[in-house]
Amino acid sequence: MNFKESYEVVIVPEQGIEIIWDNFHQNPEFFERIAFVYQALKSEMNTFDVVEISMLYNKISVLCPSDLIEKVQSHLALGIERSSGHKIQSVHWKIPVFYDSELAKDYSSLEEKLNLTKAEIIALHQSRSYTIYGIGFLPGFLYMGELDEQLKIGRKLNPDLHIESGSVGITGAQTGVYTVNSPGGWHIIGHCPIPFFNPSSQNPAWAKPGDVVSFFEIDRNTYELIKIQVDTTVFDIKEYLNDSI
Amino acid sequence: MIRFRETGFYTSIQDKGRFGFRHLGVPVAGALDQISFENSNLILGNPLNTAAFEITMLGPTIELLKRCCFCVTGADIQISLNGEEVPMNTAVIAEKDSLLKIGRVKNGLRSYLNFKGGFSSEVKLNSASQFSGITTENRVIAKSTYELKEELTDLISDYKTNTLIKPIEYASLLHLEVYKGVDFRLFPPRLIESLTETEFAIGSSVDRMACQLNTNSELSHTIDRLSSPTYVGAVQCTPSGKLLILMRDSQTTGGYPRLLQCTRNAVNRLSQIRPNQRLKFVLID
Repeated sequence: MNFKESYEVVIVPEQGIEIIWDNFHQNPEFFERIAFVYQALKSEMNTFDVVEISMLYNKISVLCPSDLIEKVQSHLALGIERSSGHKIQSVHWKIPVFYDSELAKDYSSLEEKLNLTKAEIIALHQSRSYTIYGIGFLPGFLYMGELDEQLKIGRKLNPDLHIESGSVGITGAQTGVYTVNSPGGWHIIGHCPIPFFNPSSQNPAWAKPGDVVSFFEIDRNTYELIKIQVDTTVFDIKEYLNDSI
Repeated sequence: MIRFRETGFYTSIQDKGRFGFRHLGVPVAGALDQISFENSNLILGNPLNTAAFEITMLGPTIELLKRCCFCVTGADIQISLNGEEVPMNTAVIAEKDSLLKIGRVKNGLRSYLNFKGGFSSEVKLNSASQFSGITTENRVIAKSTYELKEELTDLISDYKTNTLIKPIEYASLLHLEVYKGVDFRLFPPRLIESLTETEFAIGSSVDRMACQLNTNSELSHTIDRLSSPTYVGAVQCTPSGKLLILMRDSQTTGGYPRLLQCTRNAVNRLSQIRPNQRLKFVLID
């Protein structure tokens, strides 16, 4: 399927436009080009008054006054044209997780439902690099996939009323880290000591759609140590960039 | 300075909203009834984005520890200053150490209390709008104090009620103007009739995140798509046929298809609707 011909621009009345690539499931390779178009729009649109540009999976959303839609569409066409052959700006993050059954209370039910041991679940979660498909649900929450087939499990039928910030969850083909305390229906397998969102900074999040994340296991000591680094602001996210990519 | 003796049912600080961070999952937030919020600044001669207190159903009791000028707009609500009733939509001067008591809403749901010159509060990501995970608190808590930014000059004395401001409408049946939503095309065309002919009852939840309508099984569906961006005023339809109208604190992405899209003005009107009311959609092109 041709990338350039398989998108649709839908007007969102009084809000802006949404650009949708409909046959995304059959063409997962579209994602990198969608992320390229998104990055291009974001860098070019700052010069005029577009209110918001965001993306998730196969969609880009642009909120702007209606008299700017035409201009957005011409930039969009240009971005789509240039998306072939250009690589997106992408960073690989290596994120520590403390996979502890005391903190992550869902292991016993997960072991039964997935027919895997805790050690196998942990190993499978670390076995892949995950693409960031977008940010949403909570401030700084990353939609990441695809999980190994063996880890696929539906949402909890009764969502937990309180999931702590930092909890690492899985559901369907996705994995994600809760960035603030929130109710939620994902199965929790660990905790991440690194903050994903800092509302006191003008650049509150360090990740972007198109970046890649992999997880590595840490023990309780390291988990506590990184938490102290975060609290004392000695922490630097740049230490978690993977240089090999 | 002002001090909250009681906070009322749910009082939060809101301005026009938080822009430029939607791509990071940050909802726009801001005053739900933007027109009444803006009126509060027009009446006081404030810059239009000066933050106000958004009051829900039952208002706060506040000690005014400094001479100041305030007004209340939006839902019709009881206001008393040192025991004497004062009108809505009016810039009122309060002497130092006055007690401002805002009672129950009579019509509508949300009122706005604002001060001439504004008050100091926490600003995060360029907005004072309170929201969980962004500001320290998501609402005003008891005993909170706020500094008023402007010293009131003695010259100010002669204020009048702004009679141009229309009162908040109250009707047991609200006609709400909507467009077809981004995912309208995923639903069968015959749905248009049941959408525009049905009277929907407002469910029990009408918070800052969403206004829930009671389930209508005719709208049930099996559409299962990747999560999508959401819009303020988007009408999502759950598989069981429950409609959720997204308000300004709703999350920026969501899984339910977006059946309809309210006009901006419909969102303002919707923020004044109560759980016992009913609504009918009027589809416009």
